[in-house]
This record gives sequence, C-alpha cells and structure tokens, in this order.
Amino acid sequence: MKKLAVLLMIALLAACALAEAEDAMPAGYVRVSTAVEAGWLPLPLEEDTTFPLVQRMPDGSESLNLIHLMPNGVYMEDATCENHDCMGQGEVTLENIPERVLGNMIICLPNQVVLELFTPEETLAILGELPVLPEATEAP
Amino acid sequence: MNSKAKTVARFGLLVALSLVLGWLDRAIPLTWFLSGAVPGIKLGLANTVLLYAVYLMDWRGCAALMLAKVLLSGFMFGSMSAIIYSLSGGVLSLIVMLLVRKNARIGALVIGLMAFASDLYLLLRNRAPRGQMLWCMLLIALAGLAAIVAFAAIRKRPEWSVLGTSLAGAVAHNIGQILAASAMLRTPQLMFTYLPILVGIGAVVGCLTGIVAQRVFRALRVQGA
Repeated sequence: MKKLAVLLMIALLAACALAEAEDAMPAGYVRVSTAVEAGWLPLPLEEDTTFPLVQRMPDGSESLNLIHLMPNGVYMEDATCENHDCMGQGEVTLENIPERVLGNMIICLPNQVVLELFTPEETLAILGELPVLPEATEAP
Repeated sequence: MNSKAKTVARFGLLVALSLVLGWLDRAIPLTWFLSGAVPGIKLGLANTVLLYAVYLMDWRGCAALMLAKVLLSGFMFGSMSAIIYSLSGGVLSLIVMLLVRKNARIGALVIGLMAFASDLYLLLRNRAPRGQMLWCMLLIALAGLAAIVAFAAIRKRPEWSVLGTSLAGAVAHNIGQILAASAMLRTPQLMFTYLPILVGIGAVVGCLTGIVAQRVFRALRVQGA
C-alpha cells in the first residue's frame, strides 16, 4: 500500500512536470519589421540565441543585423549600418520598457529594421493567435 | 562679375559649404551624449546653409541647393536609405521654412506648443517616467520653453526671426524623415514612439543652429555680403 502511494506520488509529480513543460512559453515575442516584410521571433526559453537578418538593400548591397535574443529581452549585437546607432540603443527587456526613450523599440534606420518587443498577451492582441515561429538560430 | 556668374558662384559656394558641414554633422556623434538612446540625431549644421538660402534666394534656388546637398552628400557619405530619409526631411523642411520666413514668430510658437504637446503625450503614456525617458522629457520641456522664449524674442527684435525659421525647419526635417521611415517600414508606431522625442530634440538643435545662423547673418551683413 505504501509502495503504491509512493508510485502514485511520483506519477503525479511527473505529470505536473510534463504539464509545466508543455505550458512553457516564451516570455515575449519580437516583431522584426523591414522594408519588405514583418516577421516574429520568440524569446528563447533558456539560453540566449542569435538571429542573423540578411537583407538586399535598394542599392544592391547586402546588409546584416545580428539580433541577440535573451529569455527576457533583445538587443542588436552587430550590424553593417554606417552609424551603429542600433547597437548603441542597448537591450530592450520586458522590465526596462517604461524607462527607455524608444520604449519597446530598437531602430536601425540605415538598414531599415525595426525591432519591437511584446508580451505574449500583446502579441495575441495584435495577431489574434501566437505566431508559428521560424526557429531562432545560432549565429554562424 | 555679372549677376548670373555671381549667382552661380554663390550657389557653388553654398553647395560646397553644406557638404562640408554635412560631413561635420556626421563626424560629431551627438547620439553619444544621449547614451545612444535615440538614433539618427545630428546637430544639423548643414541646415544653416539652407537657412541662409531661404533668406537670400528664391524657392527654385533653395530647392536646387537642397537637392544638390541631399544627393551629393548621400552618394559620398551615406546610402540609398539615407538619401530617401534626407530627401523627405529636406523637402518638408524647405517648404516649412519658406512658409514661415515671413512670420517666424508663428513658427516658434507652433514648435513650442508641439514640444509641450509631445511632453504631455509621453506623460500620459507613461505616468511615472524614469531613466532615459525622464531625461528626454525634461529635454523636450526645455525645448518648448526655448521656443516660447524665441517667440517673445522675435516679437521684440524682428532680426531674430531666423531663430523661428530655424526651429520650424529643424522640427519639420525630423517629421519628414520619420514619415519616410514609417512609410518604408510600414511601422506607423514610429510616429507615436519616435516622433514626440524628435520634435523636442529638433527644437533644441534648431534653436542652436538658429543662434549660429543669426550670428553669421549679422557678420555677413557687416562685411557687406
């Protein structure tokens, strides 16, 4: 009887852990707007990741913005723009949005990129559903 | 020297000057003073040349100067995006300065009110501003105050009218650039997040360049230019 109770307890704990893992969702989503299209990136659940955004510019050149995603925020790690203002804007996290001049945005005008950080609730309100996501990848 | 040759020589001189000042604008990293918080901020020294042209030349000459400056500066120091932003800002700025030059007082008053409205909007959006946001709001409030002071100064001494024209031109330039960026990136949120801040910063910078321009105008008049 005692053995059965222990087994039941273990099974219950395992079920709870499984349910929690299934419920785990990103703390926020990043909308990436460019001159051509807009897409969404989830914040990673645990470890930082980077997403290299490569674009063909109107003058034929290629631009790169390396977007660094953290579990609670985002920043521009590297960019090929001439002034690197986007890198100077620092991190946007879910906590520091009210303190930042540009709120939830990181703007790279020369490369025509705008990043905006939203909570899942805000994302849901904008899209009607949480986005099906392109996987954020490790930088090459 | 006949009058046509004089006009061409003057035009060439102004284009060259605006390119040099444009380079200087890029070389002075104004964003550092704001901890990199707001992108795309420049002193706008090159704008003093256009300001001078607004009082000296007809609208065709001013438009040609603005186009030459935007295109040459863009191809030499910038990119295609920079040309689009500059052109959009330049066109709006020139139109506003041409409209305002006869009644610069109104220009200063409108900019002052716009700065206070921007501050109010930011305050309503964020009722407990702190960090960068607080500093920026103080800056915008100061800019609004400066514009109102300029309004009073122009009323008393009309020779300061260039200050009002400069203020209006600088803010219009920023509005034009953000309109272009919002349209290109299809991100109208820029109008609500970025523009209120650029109105204030444009007013501060416009005030500074207006003072410089007024001094230059006075010096040139003394020398009989």
